[in-house]
Amino acid sequence: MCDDPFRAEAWLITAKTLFPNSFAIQFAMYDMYKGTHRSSDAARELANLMSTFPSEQGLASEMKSIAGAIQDSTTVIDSSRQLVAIFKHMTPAVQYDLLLSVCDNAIDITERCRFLLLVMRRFPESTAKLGPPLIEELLSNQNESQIPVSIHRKLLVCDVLPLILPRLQLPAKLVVELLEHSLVFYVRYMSSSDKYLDLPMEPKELWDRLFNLTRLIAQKLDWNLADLLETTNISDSQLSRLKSFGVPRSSIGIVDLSKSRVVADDEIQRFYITLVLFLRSVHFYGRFTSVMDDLPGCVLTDFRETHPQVPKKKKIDRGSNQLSASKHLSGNIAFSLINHFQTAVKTWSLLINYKEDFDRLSETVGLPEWPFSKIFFIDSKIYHGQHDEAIRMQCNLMVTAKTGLHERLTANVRLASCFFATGDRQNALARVLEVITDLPETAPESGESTGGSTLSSARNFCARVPESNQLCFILCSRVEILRFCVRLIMLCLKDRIADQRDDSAMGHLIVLCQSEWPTYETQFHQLIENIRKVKAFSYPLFMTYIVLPDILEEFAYLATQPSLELENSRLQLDLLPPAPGLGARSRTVTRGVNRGAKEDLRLAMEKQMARSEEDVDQIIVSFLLNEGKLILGK
Amino acid sequence: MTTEIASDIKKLLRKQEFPTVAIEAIGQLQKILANFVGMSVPQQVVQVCNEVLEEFVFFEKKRKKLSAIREIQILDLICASFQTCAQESCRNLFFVMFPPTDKRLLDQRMPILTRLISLAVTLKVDTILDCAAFWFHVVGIKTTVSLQLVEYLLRDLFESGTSPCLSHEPALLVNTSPAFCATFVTATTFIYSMRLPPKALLELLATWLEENLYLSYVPLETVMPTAQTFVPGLIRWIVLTDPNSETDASVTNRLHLALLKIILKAPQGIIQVDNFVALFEALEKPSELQIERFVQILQAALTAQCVQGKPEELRRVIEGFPPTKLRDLVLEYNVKDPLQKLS
Repeated sequence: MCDDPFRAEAWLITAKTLFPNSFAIQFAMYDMYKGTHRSSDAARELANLMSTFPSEQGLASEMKSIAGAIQDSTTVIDSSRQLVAIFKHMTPAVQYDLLLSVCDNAIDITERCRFLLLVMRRFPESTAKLGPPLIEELLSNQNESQIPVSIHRKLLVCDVLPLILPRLQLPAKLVVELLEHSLVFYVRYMSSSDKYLDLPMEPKELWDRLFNLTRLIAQKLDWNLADLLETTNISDSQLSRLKSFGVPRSSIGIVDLSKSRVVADDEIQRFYITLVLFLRSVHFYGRFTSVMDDLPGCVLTDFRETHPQVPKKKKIDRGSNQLSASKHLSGNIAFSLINHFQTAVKTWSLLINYKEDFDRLSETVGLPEWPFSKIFFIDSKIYHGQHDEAIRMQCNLMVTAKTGLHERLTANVRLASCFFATGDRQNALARVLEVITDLPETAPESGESTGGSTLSSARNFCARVPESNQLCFILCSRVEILRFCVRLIMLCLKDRIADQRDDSAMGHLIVLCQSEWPTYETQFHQLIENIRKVKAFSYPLFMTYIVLPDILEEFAYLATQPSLELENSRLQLDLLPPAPGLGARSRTVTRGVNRGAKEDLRLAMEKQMARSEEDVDQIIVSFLLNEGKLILGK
Repeated sequence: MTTEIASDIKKLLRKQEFPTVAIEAIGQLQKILANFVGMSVPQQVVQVCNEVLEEFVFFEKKRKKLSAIREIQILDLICASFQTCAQESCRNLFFVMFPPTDKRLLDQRMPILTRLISLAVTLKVDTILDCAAFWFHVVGIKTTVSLQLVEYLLRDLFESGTSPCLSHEPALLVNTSPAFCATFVTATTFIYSMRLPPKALLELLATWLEENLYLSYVPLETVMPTAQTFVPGLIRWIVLTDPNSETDASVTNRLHLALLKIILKAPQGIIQVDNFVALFEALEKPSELQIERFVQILQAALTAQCVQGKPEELRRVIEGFPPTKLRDLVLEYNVKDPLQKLS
């Protein structure tokens, strides 16, 4: 209108007297004050507008802009900062009215919720009045929409509850219902592809949030077991606190949200706390055993043997459950994995008592959809030594679930472990041979034994031979899987030669002894002793698969040295492959008689030395692949 | 109060030298007058006080005129002593010193009064200034005495080479004694009733109004329903300002805006219809802006319902303007009750 601000204001004042009911004029005055940065005058005008023209659209949108500006307190936009300045000049009562008005005019529940949160943060005393209806509204929206990670649930669980719960005392039944919503939300969120920008991405942080919320709820409900939420590895004494006494009363389960009498019960808190601990532990177990960027995944192997000769032997007691994890895993991860697995197993054993409730919630939370949940159940059977059950479940799984390479590999490893544990050597061996066919490629990291002299790296592996009775999570890397297979086969073969002389079994063993030399050096020397005693050894595959210089030298020595006990006889070593075209009888035998034969052997040995640079692991793998049938034997 | 006490005091004082004697004298008088707070002082006491003043403070008994330096010293200590005493007893003393009813004495002491006020302005002695404001109203703002005094102050403040109070922080004065400032301006509106005051005064007033918008409504200690304000005068000044001859329009604009706000909060009777009529008739060839301002002022006055007088006359004034949108709106808006509500 005119340049001079005083003149403009004079006009507006006059206009206001002429048209006292005109919203436009008074809003123009407010605008003018706003534009000239006269915040306190603007605030005064705005307060007048609010009381005189409460339902004007223009006013509503201006108030909303102000509320928006306040929400983002770090704004650098000039106009927003101006709005904030105006707001600050208003009295608290007017501020409250403004924000409340904005809430009432919100276009949808999401917007209303955000603004209500703003109001409750600034005016904590309003929480009692505004909080419960908001919760009700979000809940009813959620129940209508049924999407697991809907915005309503997200707002409710992540924003509203943490703010409101500490301040209000809500009915217990509602709080338990809210706990379930929180559980479902966070758990579902972790496996969903929808993302909310203001939530963290890391599962650990999400779990922390859930646990914080649960602790808050536990506090509100006076649950005395809430301190158990602090642990990541549940001890036996803590476990006993969680044990419930007796059987749940109704068939629907202990938590019947349709009943009003709910939460004085100790059962309720045991259930939920156990459940929450269980879910977190299973989740992390799953993460650490799954294939991720830098981890090839883990699988549980079991070298403990149950002894069928002692049929009354009790279930393996916990003391000897030496659960360990591969040393290739970083210390932290290994430790966490073991902790979480044990916690999961222990809490699972308690949750069995709450079958109906657990079934209901696990369905809602999406537990069956977790790829590792079924595997966990199998692993927990293994842990408890219930191998038959584990075998059954694993075979079932192989039939029903998808089987990619990794799944097949791990399934077979598990089955091999279980069969071995139950004493079924044949099936164990068969499974191991399957594993070999699926063996992963060599990873480019160090620690793998590559070709050449394995002596130096082998020394590092010396310390890594696991104890005889042990449960271990091994990496699904070529090295570890192969090590597992070799160890299992060797144990089976050892049985075979225990009672009777079996040259081919011995030969197989010697081939396998080359693995990660000199790990099995002692075994090898024992075998040599056996050969010496018997004074004969026939293994046509010798030249194909035995390349290690130490071993070759040993045999060379055997061949040349006279036996001390029987001067007249020499050891018979039948090591050369059958020459093409010649019959079996023409095989050269190193009896002193046939000097040519001895010469042949010596030459063959020398020639074999040339192969000492070859990759032993690769040889072993081909050995197992080619001669599998032989190994399975009779 | 007995003559005995009086003579005791005099004896005591005669023993003392200047400046102690003056300080002591004033102190004694304050003590005496403190007994009469809130009531009128008996004539006898006034008499005694004046005797003391004559002899020991103003040295009026002497033949010689006071030297300039002596005079300043006296004024200075009067200021100092007023600064420390309470409001009510000060007022009594002030009125004894410069009695509105005793013409002879007042005439004699006028120079002192003038310079005292001037000095109080410079030194920002709020007690003296408040007393002075009150004094103006008691004497009567429109009286010659007041106007002369104000004229002197104007010269002193604006025209003399040194005007320390205005050279920096002029706004402070309005915080020191709003009553004095308001009264001062009101008096000025009578001096410059149909013409514009010095620009410097207008600027000063604009600054004061920014500090204290409702300066004109500063209550003097006792409710004085007849107390004048400077509102009518300001209206005249604003309307009479010719925008074409203005070099800096912002002062007028600021004053006009402040005036509108002031009028909107005006109590009943603050302006008379006659003022408007006279103003209207005094306008010769008003410019658009002048008309605009006048009509705006009228509208504000009508809205606030603070005009006293005949509504028809006011209507006549408005109709007398050349038709503009604003004028028509004002006529239309005020067609019914507001105009009739004028009492």
